[in-house]
Amino acid sequence: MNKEMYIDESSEVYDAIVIGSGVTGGWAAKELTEKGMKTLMIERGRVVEHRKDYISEAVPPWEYANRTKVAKELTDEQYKIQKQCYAFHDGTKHFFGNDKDYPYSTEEGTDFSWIRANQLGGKSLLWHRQSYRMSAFDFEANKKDGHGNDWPIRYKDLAPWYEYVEKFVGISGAAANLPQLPDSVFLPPFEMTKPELDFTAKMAEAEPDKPVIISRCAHLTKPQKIHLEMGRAQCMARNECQKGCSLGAYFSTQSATLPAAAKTGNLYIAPNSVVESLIYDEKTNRVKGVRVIDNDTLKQREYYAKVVFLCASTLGTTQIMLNSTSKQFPDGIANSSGVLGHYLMDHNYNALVTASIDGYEEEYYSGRRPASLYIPNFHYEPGRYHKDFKRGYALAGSASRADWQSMGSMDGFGKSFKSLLHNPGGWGIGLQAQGEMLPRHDNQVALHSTKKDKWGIPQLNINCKWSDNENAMMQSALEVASSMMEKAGFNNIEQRILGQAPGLAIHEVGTARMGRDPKDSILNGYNQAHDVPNLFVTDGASFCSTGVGNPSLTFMAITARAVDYAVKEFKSGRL
Amino acid sequence: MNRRQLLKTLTAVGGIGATSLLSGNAIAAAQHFRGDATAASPALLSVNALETLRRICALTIPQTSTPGAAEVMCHHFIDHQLSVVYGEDEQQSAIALLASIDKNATSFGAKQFFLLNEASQLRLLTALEKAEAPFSAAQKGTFKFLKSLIVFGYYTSQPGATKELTYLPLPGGFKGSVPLASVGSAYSSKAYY
Repeated sequence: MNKEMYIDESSEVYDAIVIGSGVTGGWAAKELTEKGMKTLMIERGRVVEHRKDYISEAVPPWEYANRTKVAKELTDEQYKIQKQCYAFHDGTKHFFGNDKDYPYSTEEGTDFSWIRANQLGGKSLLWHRQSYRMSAFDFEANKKDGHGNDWPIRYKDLAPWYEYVEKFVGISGAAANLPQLPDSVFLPPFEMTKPELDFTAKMAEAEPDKPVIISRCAHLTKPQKIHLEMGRAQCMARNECQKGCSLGAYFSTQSATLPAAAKTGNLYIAPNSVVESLIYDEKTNRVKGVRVIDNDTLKQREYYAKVVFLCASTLGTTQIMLNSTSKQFPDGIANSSGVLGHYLMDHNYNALVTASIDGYEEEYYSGRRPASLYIPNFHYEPGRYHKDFKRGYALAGSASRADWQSMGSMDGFGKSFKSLLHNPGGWGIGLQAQGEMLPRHDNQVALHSTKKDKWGIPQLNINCKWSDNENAMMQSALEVASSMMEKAGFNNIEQRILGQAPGLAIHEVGTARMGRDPKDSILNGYNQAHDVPNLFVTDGASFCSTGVGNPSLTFMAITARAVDYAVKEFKSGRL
Repeated sequence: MNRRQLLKTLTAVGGIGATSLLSGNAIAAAQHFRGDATAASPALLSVNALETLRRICALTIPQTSTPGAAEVMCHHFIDHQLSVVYGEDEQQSAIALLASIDKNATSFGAKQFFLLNEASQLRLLTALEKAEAPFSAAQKGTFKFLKSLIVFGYYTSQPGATKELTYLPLPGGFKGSVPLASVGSAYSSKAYY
């Protein structure tokens, strides 16, 4: 990256400021700069350079101080929350936020695991890369069953933008022609293993409403010209993505949107700049810039722009908005409706069913697949709802052979034990639910009345709980996954409720929602604040419901669409 | 794609130090376990306990045509891992279990575990693994924990990962079906350890 691109002090008035550099911020910056807007991307954390800063990439386990495990003293002091994330280990910990620096509180009797990634690239470096479109049913669900407010957009509004971002991102998958899960523009799918293929075939017969497909993920299985031009290459199936991928084989800010934005010559980046609040001008009713605290020196500075895109993550964005108070907006900028901070949602991943599969002794696979099996939501419209709960869930998992780690506690010693572990063990399968969470006013984040972080910014206080609806859904998911496994002839079927607090799906959304009515929403159908025309929020905070699928692809599409609108408005002088 | 083709691909992408991609940068750490630290004094365990553990490592994963767990210093690894990664509870139960194994060696006719002949050592460990007298179910649990550390230490060591099993740093893509015989062994490499 060109060094002149990084700025510190500046009195310039940029065309646009983008706050945040993750999946959403990267897309906002790419689209704005490609449309000719001189854009400043503000990132609270350090610079992470593609390739150069992937310090643990391809390091074999024996070269780690503790064979990839993190020292207890360090996790106790700095990563008590982050360590709950499946991807947290010694080779990725430098891409997770330090809990000591990023404190937050939870309301008594509630729990929320807030996973942070505060560096250039944000969570785009750490994400699980599963990529799904939301469906027509998802955008209509709130209106049809009365939970939450009506999305101001429909699937047809977003469909061309999904297509637009998918071509650039590169989504591996197979067309399935399902009403509840629209197909994307696909690169070739990852293969299934033999037992997975047989399971898929059996379910097509036994459970025709629950088709099993290969998951869709942002990996270049066959890079196209648009990818090669960004310096990206084919996925090698290492599945060590969260260490960073010098091949750029999975989509991240660093591998894709940042080089695209940089190429325009319109991109500037202010790293180590913690946004304290937005600067609101009452006379013009516009945001004119942002107040920033230096990440290291704690000195305050300001940046200015004509349009501001908030892409700081659902909770990061909400914290900034709540802390941007004025006479006009005493409860947070653009919050005349009072819903800012409410309707926090995540996905519920708490139901897990595992089983063993007999046979296939001579079958094996090669490589570590970054995709899984996926059974799309089959309760996708009110007429298909389960009697005990609203909305639905998908199931995801895979069939693979046991290895030395899972067999390590088996009985035995000596040559026979070593020989046992020399070969792969039996086949097993797991299916985990990914359930929709209803939007509820009670699930709220607010600024803590007294506690502040080291930058002097009020901490978030989170009050979020699963409801009976989500719990009933997980119980049902256990039964359905077990029944499918029984029908497939699998053995040793075991059900588990994992008991995870909200947050750990890392799909938090909903706290500055879109809507048709300024009285019950923050943003209009183009992610533009009802109250402040030059303020746009395009990350997960803007969601009216979670849908069932992983949300990142929708962050991207909704952002590209919002930028297209914003730039047209800007050029016609209305912002 | 073989490794050479991969290197070409990497070079074609431009600007990638292929060497650094393949070998990576070892992370500097004050307390870095090194398999060759034979002379290092134990961080947590007594010299006696370490010797008992060394025998358990050798009995669990012995040397065959490839090195065994004792040869790759799994006992030192466990001493390191217990002291750095685990807490006081796990440390104390491991210490107590190793002491109990030594103590129970007397009923097999030796003062300490490592002085027993191999058959007696195996009988004692088998009783422990099955929670048979004189061992309790809780001790069995601690033993399974230690055993999982032996296994972890062995298959994440370079010889365990690359000589005993198949280590695929760059699989070159995912194939859903290959004959086991063509691989020859289980994979040691994992996405997450």
